[in-house]
Amino acid sequence: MNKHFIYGFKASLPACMGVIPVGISFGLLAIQTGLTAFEACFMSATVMAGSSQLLALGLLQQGAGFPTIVLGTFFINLRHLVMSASVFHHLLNIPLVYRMLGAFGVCDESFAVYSLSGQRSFQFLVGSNTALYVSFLASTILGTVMTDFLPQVVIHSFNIAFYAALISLLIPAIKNRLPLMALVLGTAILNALLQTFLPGSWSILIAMVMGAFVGMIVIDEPAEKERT
Amino acid sequence: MNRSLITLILFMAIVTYIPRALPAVLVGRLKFSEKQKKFLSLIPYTAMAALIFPGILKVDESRPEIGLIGGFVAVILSMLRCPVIVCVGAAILINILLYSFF
Repeated sequence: MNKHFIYGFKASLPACMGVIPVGISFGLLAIQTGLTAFEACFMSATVMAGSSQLLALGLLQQGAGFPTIVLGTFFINLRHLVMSASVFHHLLNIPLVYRMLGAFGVCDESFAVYSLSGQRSFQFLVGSNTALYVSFLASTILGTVMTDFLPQVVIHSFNIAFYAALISLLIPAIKNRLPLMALVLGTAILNALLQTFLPGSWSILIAMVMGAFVGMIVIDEPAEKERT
Repeated sequence: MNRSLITLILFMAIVTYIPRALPAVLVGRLKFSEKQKKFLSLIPYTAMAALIFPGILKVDESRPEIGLIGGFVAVILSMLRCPVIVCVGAAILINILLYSFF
């Protein structure tokens, strides 16, 4: 198998630890909401976006109509549009069919691993997507069959994994680069301010676009640190 | 099996896939200016910033310190060049300790 694929797969393993608790809690909650195990796994396999799936369960429980749920899903996941554009503007030479397949697996975690590792290889992206997809689906299955054989404390404690993975991918990419650190801090603060009056899914999208826009104008150094 | 629920899931899958696929499809036909490339290359940093904060405070809605301390551990360890897996493991461990003893 291609070495870039394996490299991407391995590089994503820490991020998988962030995905697993999301998959497990989704699986558990889906069963509690009244979905069958098949429906829960089908959703993880086809949608593959944890936060929107949890939102869908919440809305189902409150008896929301299907259009509301579909619209909510769309807006929560709209941020992937910008992430996907950021990924694929390096991958012009990859055939369209492959790009369309690769796009299916673009999620917060695979985007973080791919873009912050300085890799520009499509196989790396697919390797990363595969690792995250498999662990999300497997952990959903686990969640649906798991009643209470893991102590609650351990499940709760795994919730930090998503953030810890993002932080430890981000820090090496920005440390010693003051303008980027300032941009990251500024965007975080902007997002916190926006969330006082906007739902999280909107504020994240707006903050990341506005942050990058301001950075584009203000920051002089090229953002790409070329690594070979 | 509930057929309307399967339909709902399929619609969710479609509206999630479209934003992911659109740039992948169009990117061959678009020419990005230097400014636009710079904008796109800054997205990873701003996206991570927005995903991490203030969401990390809500890891446990009733105890914001759970997220803060776990995140702090991850920051320190990654500053010390620890591999990602170590940072994640340490953050989980510190949260297990926090839940067990405080």
